[in-house]
Amino acid sequence: MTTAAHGLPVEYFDGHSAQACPAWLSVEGPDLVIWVADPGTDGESGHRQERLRTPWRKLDWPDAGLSTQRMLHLPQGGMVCSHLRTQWDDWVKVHQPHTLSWVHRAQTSLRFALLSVAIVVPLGIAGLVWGVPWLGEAVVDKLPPDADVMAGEAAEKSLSQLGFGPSKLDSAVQRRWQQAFQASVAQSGVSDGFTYRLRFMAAPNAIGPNAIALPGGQVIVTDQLMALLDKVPEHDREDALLGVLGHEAGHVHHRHGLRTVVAGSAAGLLVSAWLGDASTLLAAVPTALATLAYSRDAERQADQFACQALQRQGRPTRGLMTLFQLIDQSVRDAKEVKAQEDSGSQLIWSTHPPTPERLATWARCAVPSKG
Amino acid sequence: MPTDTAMPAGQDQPTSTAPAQGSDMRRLRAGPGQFAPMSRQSSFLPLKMKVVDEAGQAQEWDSWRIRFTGQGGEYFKLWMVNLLLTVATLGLYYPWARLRKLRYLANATQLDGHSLQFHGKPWPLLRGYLLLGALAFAVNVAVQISRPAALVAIGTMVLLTPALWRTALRFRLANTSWRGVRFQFTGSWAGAYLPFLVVSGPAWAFAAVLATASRHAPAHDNFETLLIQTGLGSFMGICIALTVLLVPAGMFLLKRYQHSHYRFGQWQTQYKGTLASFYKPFGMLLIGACALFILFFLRDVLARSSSTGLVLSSTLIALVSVLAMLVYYISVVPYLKVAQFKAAWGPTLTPDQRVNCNLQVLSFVLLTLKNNLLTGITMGLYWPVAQMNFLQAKVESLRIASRVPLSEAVAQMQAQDIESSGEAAVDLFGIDFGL
Repeated sequence: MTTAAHGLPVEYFDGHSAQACPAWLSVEGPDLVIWVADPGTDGESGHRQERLRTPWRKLDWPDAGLSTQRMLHLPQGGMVCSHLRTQWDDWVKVHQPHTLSWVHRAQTSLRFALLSVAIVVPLGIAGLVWGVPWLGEAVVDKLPPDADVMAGEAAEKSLSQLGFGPSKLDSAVQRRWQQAFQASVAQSGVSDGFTYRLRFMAAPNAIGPNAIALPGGQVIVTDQLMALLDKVPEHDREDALLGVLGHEAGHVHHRHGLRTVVAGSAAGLLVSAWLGDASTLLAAVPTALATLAYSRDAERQADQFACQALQRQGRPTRGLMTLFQLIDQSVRDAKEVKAQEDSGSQLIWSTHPPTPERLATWARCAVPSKG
Repeated sequence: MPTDTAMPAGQDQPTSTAPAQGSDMRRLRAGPGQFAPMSRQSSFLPLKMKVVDEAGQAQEWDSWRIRFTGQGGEYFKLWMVNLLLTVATLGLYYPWARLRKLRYLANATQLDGHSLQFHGKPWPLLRGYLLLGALAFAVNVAVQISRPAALVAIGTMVLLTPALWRTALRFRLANTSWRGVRFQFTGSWAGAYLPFLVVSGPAWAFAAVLATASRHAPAHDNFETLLIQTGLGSFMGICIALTVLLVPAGMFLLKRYQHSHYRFGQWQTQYKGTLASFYKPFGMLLIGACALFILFFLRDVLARSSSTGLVLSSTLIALVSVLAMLVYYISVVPYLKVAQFKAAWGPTLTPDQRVNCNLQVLSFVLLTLKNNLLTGITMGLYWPVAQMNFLQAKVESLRIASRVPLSEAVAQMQAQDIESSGEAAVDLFGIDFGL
């Protein structure tokens, strides 16, 4: 069977041999027909025979061949391909009602790519700024309080490795503070299913004068912090330490431990989705920055909690502010860092909000002064 | 049985002559779509490459450089739109996105004027991803339930990994074709497990010894006290050191398994690489690490003896460690990649074909530096372009020599049968023909 000389010249591969066979494409009604040259001819003057006929509607016209040759995979196996891109495209336009998918058109248009950047980049940033913290809160809300308790127990076991040791504080003093803490918890009326407990430990080489909260309710105060507390005027001491404990209780109440874990891994996922399998070093920096930002937010929330707790107990924040300044000073002394107040670079690399901001928070905390 | 003398001659230096390389470059710039078949054929004349055949005879075979025509700009658009659609569909579009990427990369890889084709279908791919996702989820849940459940889940994951890896290789190869003929991966289950077994050997030994010892140990509440009670601390150290020392051997076995089971038509690849070619770069790194360690030690001693030592050392430590990390990422990592790439591809051959790889360490290090710098500056927007640069450097360093025209390849199985052999559409990251 022969046909007219026109038809799109292509190379035909039968899927069995890697030998190219010169062929021509034509469309006859619903069918795509592949013609090859009659034996002994070059097929140019119309001496062609039908090789294959297949409904073109069912063909999977690949459209990702952006910069390379044009090709069409055949359902029987094998393919046709052409290096004459323009000729192929023109022929498809005239003979083939098949239209390129809109995804293909989007993927070859610079305008659409830039539009994608304009959508994806702000979306990613919004995801990091609001989405991930929201996810952390939503996921942790679904978890029972037991999850915090378990995480707290695991953290407690690792304390000794982190340089925490038994407290050298007088046990009577310990008991007095523990009773004061229990009374203040009861007074601030927190009911969240956690059992708040106060414990003293020595941590000269770990965190120095500081306090930490373990998920599930355990609050640990270091002997070094108690030493600093002695420098606070005596009538402010109870307010000061209960303020610090209120801050730590805020971490427990808002379940910051678990939220950090969830938000940290979600941020890591988001960043690696953006940077693909790019170098881990490149992905680590934005993840770290985001995690630090979440940490500062958690500290702000805990500061607020401390404020409200003190307010409910009718205590002023003056003692807390004094103690806080002492802690801040001792940290500066230890690091031999000269005062470079909240410069931008310091802010983004910090786990805590800048000192002046925190002091302002507590100063705003209007409380009727005691007695 | 072919011996090492059957390796391509002049494996370490490019065999192409300068003028021929020049014409190659011109063709690259002109772009592939602009040639009529006649002019295309004349400009794709192969170069002669010196080869020692299996009988030990020096011969000159035709050879073709593999070309990579992927362009940063094009790939950027593809990547960006893929990302948008994946985000917009909450990840469900991912198999389609992945498919578009794989098709583009296959199309961009050309040998003797024809590009590779990728035939994977989206729905099986989605099923594969859902399966992997379910597995990962199950492991995650199990880890949180209890320690025995976590051990069982992680153990299952570890035991499944080689099988998944083999399945992914079969899927990838079976769905790739050149000139209408499918590739195949013919490796066995057992072969896939060998490299993993070798590397994890010390870990199994330690687990077995620890399990026996802990039965007689008094009650313990954590791993550390158990280690102290059983006195197995130093044994664990030895096992860790052994594992590190076995990594190059594992890598060699992995590459040997991979590169001796590719099949195209009647041609089945063989791998003639040596264990030494994997230990050599590793040894050099070890020497470098020792030198660094001594340097740190000396600096520490000096810092302690001076009065301002403490301040100086904390700033220095930060500076030196950041520098060391940068040096590691832009020189050690690319050096290892190049060494491994050459050790994997150079000694890969079939009775009728040889591979020559001339990837240069220095140019690859410079490329890594440039790519990382620009990716960092553009907050990741340069990454797709960087990826194209990396792939081009790697793919185009390969040259295939063949005793017979490559068009003599004849499929030994129907495409459908090959495809169904790789039917379990498991797609793992990082399996790009080992590129």
